[in-house]
Order: sequence, then structure tokens, then C-alpha cells
Amino acid sequence: MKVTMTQDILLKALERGAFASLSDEAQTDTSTLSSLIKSVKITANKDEIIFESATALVASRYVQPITDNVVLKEEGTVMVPAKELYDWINRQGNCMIGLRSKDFDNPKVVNASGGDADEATKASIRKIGSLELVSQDVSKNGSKWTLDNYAPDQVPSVDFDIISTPLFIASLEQLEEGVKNIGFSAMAKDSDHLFDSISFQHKDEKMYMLTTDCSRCALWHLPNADKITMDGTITEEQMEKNGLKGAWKSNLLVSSKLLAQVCKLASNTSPIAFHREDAKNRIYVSQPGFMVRMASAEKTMAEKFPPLDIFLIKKYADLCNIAVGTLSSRLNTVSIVNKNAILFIFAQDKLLLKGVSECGHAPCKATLSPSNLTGEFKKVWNVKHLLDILKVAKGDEIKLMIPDGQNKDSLKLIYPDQPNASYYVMSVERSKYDLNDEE
Amino acid sequence: MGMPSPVLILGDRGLSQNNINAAKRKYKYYKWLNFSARANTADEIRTAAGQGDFLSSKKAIIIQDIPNKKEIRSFLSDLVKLSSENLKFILWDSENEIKVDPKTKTFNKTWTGWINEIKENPYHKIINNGETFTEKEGGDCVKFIQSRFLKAKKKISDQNARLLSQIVGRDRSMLDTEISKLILTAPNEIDESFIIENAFPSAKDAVLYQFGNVLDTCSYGDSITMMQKFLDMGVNENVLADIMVKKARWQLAAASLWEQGMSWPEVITALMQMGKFPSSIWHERTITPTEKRKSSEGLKELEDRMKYMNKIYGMLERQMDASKKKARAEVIPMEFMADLTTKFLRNNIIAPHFNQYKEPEMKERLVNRCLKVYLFSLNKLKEVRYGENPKQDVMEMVAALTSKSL
Repeated sequence: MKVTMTQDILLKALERGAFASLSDEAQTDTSTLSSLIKSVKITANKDEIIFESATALVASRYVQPITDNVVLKEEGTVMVPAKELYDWINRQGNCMIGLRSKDFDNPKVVNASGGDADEATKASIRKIGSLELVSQDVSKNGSKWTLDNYAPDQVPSVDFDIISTPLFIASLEQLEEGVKNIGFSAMAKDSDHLFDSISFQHKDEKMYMLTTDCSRCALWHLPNADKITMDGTITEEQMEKNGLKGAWKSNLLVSSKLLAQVCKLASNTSPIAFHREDAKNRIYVSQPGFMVRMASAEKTMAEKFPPLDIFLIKKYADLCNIAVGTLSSRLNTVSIVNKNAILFIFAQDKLLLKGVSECGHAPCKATLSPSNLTGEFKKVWNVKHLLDILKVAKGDEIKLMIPDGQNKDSLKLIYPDQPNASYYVMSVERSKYDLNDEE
Repeated sequence: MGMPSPVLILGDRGLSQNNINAAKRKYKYYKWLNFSARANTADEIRTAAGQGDFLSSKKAIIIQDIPNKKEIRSFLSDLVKLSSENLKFILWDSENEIKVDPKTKTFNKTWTGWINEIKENPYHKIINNGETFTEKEGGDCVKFIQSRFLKAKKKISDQNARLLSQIVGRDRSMLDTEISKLILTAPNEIDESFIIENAFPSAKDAVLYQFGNVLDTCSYGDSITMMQKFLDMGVNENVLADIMVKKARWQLAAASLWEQGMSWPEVITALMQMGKFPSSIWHERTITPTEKRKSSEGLKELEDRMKYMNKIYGMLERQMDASKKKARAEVIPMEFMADLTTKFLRNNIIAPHFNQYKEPEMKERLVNRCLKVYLFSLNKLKEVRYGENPKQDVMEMVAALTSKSL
């Protein structure tokens, strides 16, 4: 293989195609075949150069067409360590970069640590040559380096052609906004890949992104989602009848962390399509030329995720509006005493916040004046849940809403200036605050 | 029946972890939350207990690392009163703060009151997994082993249960894990050879036993394989060399006693009396072993021994070093070890040369052989400790100990 292209094109292609091999999962892999997992496969054909990589959880492919700034001199395939290649290219600045493979007369066998092995075993890797890297800037100066080239046939290419009709498509801009506004509500890590995911569910062709850890939930309406073919969310009637059985069909769970990274790499020239391979619980996120495959939660696990309908059908009435800055400041003050649960007492045009701790601090109180307070109300909420919502504030005011019926165990919060987002938090019961005795 | 709450789990860490894993499997529809009473604040734990859930999930809260602090105890006893159909608590004394008084076999005073408060909850459950069996609790250890085997419908005699505890050690979870493994392949009636072949030696003495057992087969190849196995497990060459010197010494003692005219059963009895104090009682041939044990019973304390030495030998207090009270002479821990030593000499050294040498030449040659092996081993032990190639030295020791020549 022999190709030349500008540094920015190569870097962009590598970031996308080597997305899997540059991931933490690949870079921290210590298995016997870790050298292959950490490598990117580059295939140069007469029309395009394909960059691809894969781990157990994620696989990626990027197709770079041959253009004026990409010159193909010789076709071929190489498989080289992605991180080393990326780091070297990243340090070259604005220049042309040439990649040229050189094959050994006799392939070598190396072990997991990179040392030469005496004979080929299941745990050994075939090294067939090297990839010479050359950079040259306008002044004809540059750098040279060589990387190991492993036999590319040791890792089969991921078949991205199995994806056909997408479940839906969405604009990158809206997805990015969604991740930014609701990502905090997902768990940082969940071994079942359930609550660290963003759920895509729709009702009546209105697509929503949803993150939750079951005690709080953030909802983002994707206004431009199109070509929706997936099932609509399970309704409350269906839930009462059959529980959440089969709910996975109407719930696309995509890793929150990976989706945020994909959004950063995707191009804003075309929408992003979402596909699912039902048999293997795999999600495909694609744009023309750029495809990522991710592992998703098991179907039975996915049925433990709250359905969209339980949030949409519940009726909430306005409680009050509060200035974001003041509420944030008062909550931070009271949370000195109790970082977890704070009592909210809405009465006589005032909101009294009270922090009581079991750790020996004296109780701390703070008041503020909400506007349009509609009634008297008392509840304990997790202060962290509320502070996280206030961190993504849009506008100066936040609206608090309480359920219409008898059961007032949840709170809905919305920013009037951000109609696409809504947040829900569950109250804390059986707390140290005795609600009946409070003033 | 629903899950009890609160559940207080005490004792052996491994068994307690097994209890929790089993509960998680059994009540998998619960949402399980883990907290440390040391690292997490009371506010944090109480908030998690009361935090609402969109799907009204059932919740089980595990609280471990319970420190010996009155305020934490009182918080926990108050918290667990919230137990309900949807909210369960498991309190795990994972740091073994709750001690059992060895004399009264009851919890110490600090914790008794608190445990009683936990017991006031109607659906409580206390799981006491016990601690590592002490030397005095040998009987309990045997019962524990037997009951574990019995659950799998396997039988093991007292003696073999004791042997297993010697090989594995008296740690409950170690025994439990080992038994779980053994019952997969064990016959219905577990015998000594099955234990020796299959039990993994965790106890220090067990290395001696298992390694010594292979040496007794006089197979150089098997002994070297076993040696390598122990070295791979991280057992130091010094330990193996030490075992071999000890073994050579016991063989020399046995050969010497036989050469003095004792029968083999008498040799075994004498070997078992080796290192026991006072020798004037234990080496007295005219009294029975029971009488010997009874006579030496009152001489366990240092003061009593000093009085005895003064009375019998006229030794003065200043002539005795009280600081040496912990120094003990070498003893053979179990009778079957003495039995195996004599069996080795009879079956592997004497028998092959039975037609070649007659007594007293046989006795002389046996003592000479044992003396040579012992001195060679002793010399090699020094080289293992201070030389440059300990593995080679250990291999040479193996060659000497497995040699059948007279």
C-alpha cells in the first residue's frame, strides 16, 4: 500500500475509523490479542481508503474517498497500532503525509507483549511487515517513523452492510443538544449497559431522548427526527395489561458516553441514522461514509427501562416559577448540612428550604420568593438531582410542576426558554424530616 | 416466603459474601444498593433508602463496613425499622468488629445491646458464619466439615475430616470452598487417599504433609513435579528444604529408636513423645501414655515448670531463663505422620534389601543411611539459604530423600 494525503484529512479519517481501537476499552485491553484490538485496519482501493477497527463493545468504519488531496499510488491493506499512528500524525502539523507498507520476506510471529515468539499459537500474532510514515511540509522538511504491520486477515472486517432501513434519523445538532441537556441524568457506568444509556422512544411520531437512573429522568424532544419505523412506546394500558414485556422493541438504548463521542466526530452535513440488529442486541449509528456499531443492553434488561409514556401521560399543574440563580445559591447553602435530602416547604408566597443532618450539624434554613406560587406544598427532594438540572439551565427561570392527582411523589421541572427539555425527579420518602410536624 | 429484613450477617467474610450472592440471586427482582457505613454518610444511606422510583422497584440495601461507633449503631438500628415489603436491609459486619467471647460464646457487651435491638424487628434474621476455628475447636471444625459433606450426601470420618482441616487450614470459607470443589468428584465415602490427592494445601503444615507424602513414594520424578508445583504456587525453596530436613530428622530418629531395640509400634509411640516436656516423664518406660499425659498436665505454665525443675533437679531460679518460655522443641504434630515415617523405612528402604542384609547389619546400615541423608539435607539447607542456586539444591535434597539405597 502506498498513499499520500494531507494531515488534516488523515487525522479526521483516523479519528473516525479508529474510533474503536482508540477507545479506553481497547487501549486498556490486556488480552493475548490486545495488539490487534489496539490496531486500525487501513485498506486502500482505487476509489476509496477504508479505516476500520473493532472491540467487543464497539466497532467503527470510515470511508475516505480518493480526492485531490488524497493520492493513491499502490493499493493494499495494513493493520497498525492506532494510538501510535494517531499520536504521530497529530504531531505533524499542516503537511502532507505518506504511508508506505513494506512486507517481510518471511512473516514473523510475535507474542502478546510484542516480543518474537518461537512458533505460532492461538495467542500469537502474525507480523507481516512495517508501515513507513513520512511527513513533509511546504519547506520540504518533516519526520519519518515506522510502525509494525500485522497480518490484516487475523481480524475479520465488521459487516456494516447488514443494516438497511433505519429506525429513525435525526439531525446532529439536535442530538448534540439532547446529549448536552440530558446526559447528566444517566449513570456514569452500569454493568448491564442499561442506565448508562440514552433511550430513544417515540409516541405518535414524536421522538424523545430519555435518560434515567429510575429516581430521576431527563427527557429531550427531538423535533426533527424523521423516517421513524420503530414501534411506538408502550402505553400505560399495555403496561397494565402485559407489564413491560416486549418493551425493548420500542426502546433503542444507546450508550450515552459513546453517543456523545460519535456526535463529536460526525459531520453536520447529513443526518445521523440509527439501526438495530435485533438478534445480537447491536446498535448501528451511521452517516454516509462513517458507521459505528455498539453493543446494547440485553432485551430482558431493556424491559426494565421506564417507558416514555409514564412521563408523557401524567398531568402536572404549575406550582411556581423560581429564579435559577437564587434557587441554586440557596440549595448550595442548605446542602452544607445535608448533601442529599432537603425539605421544601412552599407556603405563604415563600419557599423555605431546610437541611437537617444525622451527622451532628445544626439544621440550616434558607428562604426565597418564588413567583406565581399556586398553593401550599411540602416535600423532600434529593438536592443533587435538582442542582444537576440547574447546571444545564437555559434562561433565568425554572418552572416547578407537581402532579395533578393525589399521588404527588414526583416533580416536573422545565425551562420556559427550553421547550424541548423536561426533567422529572422522585421525592424522598421515609426521610429524617417529619413532614407532619414541620411549621 | 418473602425476604427477611433486617438481616444481620456476622463472621467469616467468604461465607458472608456467599450469603449475599445467594440472596442477590434469589431476590434478583430487587434493586440492590451497596453502602459502606464507614465511607457513606448516614444522610446518604437514609436518602437512598427513601428515594422514590418511577417503576416502584423493590429495594434491598446492603450496609457493610460497620464501625464500632455508638452513633452509627444507633443510626442503623433506627434505619432498619423502615423495613417493609418494598425495602429490605442487610447489615454485614464485613470487618469482623462483632467479636464472640471465646469463654462464654456470646457477643461482647458493646454489641449485645445493638443486636438485641435488631432482633426486635419482627422479620429479622441473624446469620452467624463463625470465625476461623481455634485449635481448641477441633471438634467443631470436624462437625462443620462433616455437615458440609453431608449436604451433598457424602460421608467423611472424624479422622479424615481432621486430616482435611490440617491440609486446608481451619478457615471456614477456605474449607467451604475446598469442600465445594471436592464434592464434585468425591466418592460417597471419603477416604484418606482421596483427600491427600485432591485437597489443595492451604495450611502451612499441609505443604509439609503433601510434599512429604510424595517423597515417601521414593519417586524422584513425582517428587520433582510436586516440588515444581509448590514453587509455582509461590512456596519458597526454604520452606521445602526445611520440610525435607525435618523429614530426614524424623527418619533418623525412627531408625535410631529401632536400632536400640524398640518394636515399630513402640517407635511410633516414642516418636510422638519427641519434644514433649518433661522428658523424665515422657521417656519413662514404666508408666502408661495416659499417666504421662496426666503427670505433665500441671506443667503447662512456666511457673509450674520452674518449680518442677527446682524440685526434681534442684535447679535455681536464676539458672533458668524465663524469657525462653516460648521456645518449643520439635514435635510430630499427628500420629499418622509418625506412622508414615516408620512405614516409609519399612516398606521402601528395608523391604527391598530384606534378603541382602541380616540384623544387626540391617539396623546399622539403616541408621547410617538416615544419618547420611540427614547430614546431606542439613548441609543443603544451608546452601538453599545462603547459596546462589536454591532450586538445584532442593532438587539434590529430593534425590537424597527418595534414594532407596542402604
